[in-house]
Amino acid sequence: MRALSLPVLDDDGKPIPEDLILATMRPANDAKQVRHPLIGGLVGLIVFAVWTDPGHACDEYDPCTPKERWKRDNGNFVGLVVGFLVGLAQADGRIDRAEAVRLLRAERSSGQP
Amino acid sequence: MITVNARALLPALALLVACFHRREIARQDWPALEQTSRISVRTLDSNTHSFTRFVFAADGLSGWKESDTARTDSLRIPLDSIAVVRLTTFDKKGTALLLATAATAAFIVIAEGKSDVRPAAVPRPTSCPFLYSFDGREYVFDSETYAGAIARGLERVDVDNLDALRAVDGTYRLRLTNERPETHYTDELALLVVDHARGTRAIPDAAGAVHLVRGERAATGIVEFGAADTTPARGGWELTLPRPAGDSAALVLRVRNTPMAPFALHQILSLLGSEVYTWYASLRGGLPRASVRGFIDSEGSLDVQLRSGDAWRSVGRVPDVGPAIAKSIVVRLDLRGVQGDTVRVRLESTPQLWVLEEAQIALHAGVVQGSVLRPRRATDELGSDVTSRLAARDADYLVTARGSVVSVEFDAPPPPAADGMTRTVLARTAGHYYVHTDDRGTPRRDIVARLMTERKFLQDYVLAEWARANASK
Repeated sequence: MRALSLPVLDDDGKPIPEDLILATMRPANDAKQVRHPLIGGLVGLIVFAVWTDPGHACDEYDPCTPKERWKRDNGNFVGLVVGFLVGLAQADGRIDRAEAVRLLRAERSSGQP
Repeated sequence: MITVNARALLPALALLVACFHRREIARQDWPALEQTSRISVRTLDSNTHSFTRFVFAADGLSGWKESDTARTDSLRIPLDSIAVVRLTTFDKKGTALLLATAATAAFIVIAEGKSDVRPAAVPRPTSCPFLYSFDGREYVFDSETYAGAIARGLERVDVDNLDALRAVDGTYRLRLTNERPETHYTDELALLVVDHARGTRAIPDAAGAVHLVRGERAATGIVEFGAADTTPARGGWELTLPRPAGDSAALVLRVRNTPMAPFALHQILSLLGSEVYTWYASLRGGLPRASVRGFIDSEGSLDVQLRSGDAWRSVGRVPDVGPAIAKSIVVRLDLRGVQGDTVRVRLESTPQLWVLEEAQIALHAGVVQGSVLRPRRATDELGSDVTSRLAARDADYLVTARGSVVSVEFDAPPPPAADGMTRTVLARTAGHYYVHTDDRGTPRRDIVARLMTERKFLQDYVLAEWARANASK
């Protein structure tokens, strides 16, 4: 199928070899895909735990307001989820075809080999 | 009929927009597209086609639908007749960030919807001063002191481990607080600094002497006696402990009172009504003081008994320690006459007044004096200097009311220089307090007299009042 396709051209109208495009493409980094959400979740948990800490015991002798209690009871979990999602959004090292073409065009425009 | 909430649609729509990104692809970029992307193609005659597999070739665009299985061209569109190619991609980053933002926003919105009104605090089930230790970061509740000293005639010295206290910049910092409707009379607040070998612990006994113990071993058996739903004369625990070498051992208890202990005292004082001050005055000496002391001792304290031969022998009493925090306390055990590999100990009191958190037996390694530290500076909540009031046991009292917070600083001696040494700091306090009761009520001396002399009546009365008080909460 690829053999039939139109050539990809650089900014000067010269074809970019398909092999070069394939060589520039890179799959996602598995370690980063796991590490980023994990670290993000941990950081989120800590940040939310500190943020939602009412600063006192929150017991019947020193009670919390319903707002403080709700934040304290749910903050850790929400922090974990938010941190996980932010970690998930971080770059995973993947270079797809369009990105590879963009990089090659930029290289050629700047005169690099 | 299903109704759609317009406000709920907005976030859903935003999520959809963020999840899928749709953009127009310039003609020169058509061959650069991943051939498994999702594209939509609008032709010059305004027809729109969507493909999930495609090839841009010299003779046109060949496209397949996702559901197609056959590898035949489902559609071929000449390149010259293509007006617009749009690429639809799932935006993982945008979606994750939007979800994170939405979760945070929802968290804040729900929290803001909750009330800011603080519920009324339940008074701490206690009736004595609190000590808070500065641990380098914050003040930590560390000791409840001279519990049960409910009149000047019942004043006593209390020594308690300050587990959280740390020297910061050569200074030990404490806070002495009054958090109850009471008036506290504190005569002395000193620190006992004991430097001792690692592997030993310094723990006070009921009289305030500090003992060194080592080689603690937990009880191998703890059997509770005295049913909770009846009114037995006595309740407590029977402990089985491994016998250490030698005849001199230390029983190390970690105990506290239940909230019922201060409740019982409060009930008795309330029954005195307008005669409560006369009663306090009568405790300054003579028979009334001995009688009340005897009553508190027999009904309030924890009697420690050792099984020796065929009999239980009382070897010590642990006085009221308050219910707010457990206290470690040592009771010396003379094991001469104890047969076998185990030591049996009975902890006995009025039922439901004590909580046993831990029981150990250890080798007794001696009694130590420790260095006594006097306050360098003590200031009350108004900034007044009250150092001299706490400096010595001289009946020059620091008098505090509810809400009072006294900050006390001590010069910390240098840490023990020798290797293998560690330090324990204990608080030594002397004082008494008065519980605020209804002093205009009709005195019920008859009931008070019965309470102090009839054990069964006392237990029935307190349990009934306790149940009534809890039912009305």
